[in-house]
This record gives sequence, C-alpha cells and structure tokens, in this order.
Amino acid sequence: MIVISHVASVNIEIKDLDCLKRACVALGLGFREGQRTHKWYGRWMNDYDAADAAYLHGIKPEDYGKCAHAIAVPHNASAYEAGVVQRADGKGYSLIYDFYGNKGRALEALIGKGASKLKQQYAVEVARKAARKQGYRVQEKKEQDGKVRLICTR
Amino acid sequence: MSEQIIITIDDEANATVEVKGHVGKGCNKLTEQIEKALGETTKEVKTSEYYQTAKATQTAQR
Repeated sequence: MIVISHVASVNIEIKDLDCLKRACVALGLGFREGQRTHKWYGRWMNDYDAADAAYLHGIKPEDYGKCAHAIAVPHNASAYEAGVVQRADGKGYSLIYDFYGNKGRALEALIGKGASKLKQQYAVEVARKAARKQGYRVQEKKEQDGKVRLICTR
Repeated sequence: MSEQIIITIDDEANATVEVKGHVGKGCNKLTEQIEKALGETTKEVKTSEYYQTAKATQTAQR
C-alpha cells in the first residue's frame, strides 16, 4: 500500500546562481557571469504583448538588454543571449530573451520555449542540492513525457 | 515501506513535492526546506494519512 501524506505544488523562483550555472552546463549553454548586457534585436519594436512580455513584468523597454549576467549559445556568435535580470519584487531572477528570427530560435532551441528547459534543469539542480543537504540519496529518472522525477530516500 | 520524497518537475518547470510512506504530521518538515529552495509553494494537499497519529496506524497495521 502506498501512503502519500503530503503533496505540494511550487512555483519555481530562480534564486540560486550556482544551480543556474550547473543547469547551463547540463544544457550546453555558456553562463557569462557579470556580463551586463545580453544580445537581442537591439530596438524595442512594440510588437509583442502576450502575457509573458517583459514590459508587463516590471522591465521597462529602455532597460531591455541590461542584465546582471548573460547566458549564451557557445560557438554561435550571432545567436541572441538570455539575460539574467534581478526582479524588483525580491523573488530572485527573471530570464529575459528575444526569441525572434534565426538568432532567437538558436537560443530558444537550447533554453526551451519560455526558457522552460532551462527552468526545469535549474529546478532539478536545486531540488537535488536541497535533498542531498538533508542527507537523502537522490535517484533521477527522466520520463517519456518530459518530466524529471527525483526519488529521494534515506 | 521506507519513506520517500518524490520531486517531479515537468517540461514547463511546474514542480510538485510528495511524501510517500510517512504517516503523521512530521512530513511537512521534511519537504519544507526543499520547497523553500525551489520557490513559492502555491498549493498543499494533506491526505488523510497526514492526519493519522502514529498510534492509530500501529493499530491499523496489525
């Protein structure tokens, strides 16, 4: 009989830069620590207003391209870069990037749509680190539907 | 069955943290640090097993 006593849902917040760096390594991305600008189109065209548009999340168009650190596509100097931007609401960092055109698609291929692949890998690194810190042994399983399952025992 | 924590992260970075095999109130202590490290807990479901005390389960397991 399997007893499940507690199930919690968590919204991922990017707070641990060490885990973000490890996630980049795992996905073949380059973490450019301290790089204060990241490559994007360069001019705000006001052509995107979906719910995840950066200007709807506290980032002013005149600040587009500025960041605390950048994430690059290695061996592709023309591809756009993602910016790691400190959030004003204290919830860690946001990942900001321009997905337009070939340069944007080259970046999105590695970080995933909406940076989902990078966020997933980041969460895996954070969860593994936290579980190990509590003395758990962690077994990682990649499921066919794209989910990653960490089974922690001690 | 030994106690397990199962952390599932889907390809849209939605995360769930489950405790299996533990009965009683101690289980949220186990996952609190993990949930905090991940971010903001938005939903928590405590199953009936959560509310049983250790004594009650000993009787049930005879």
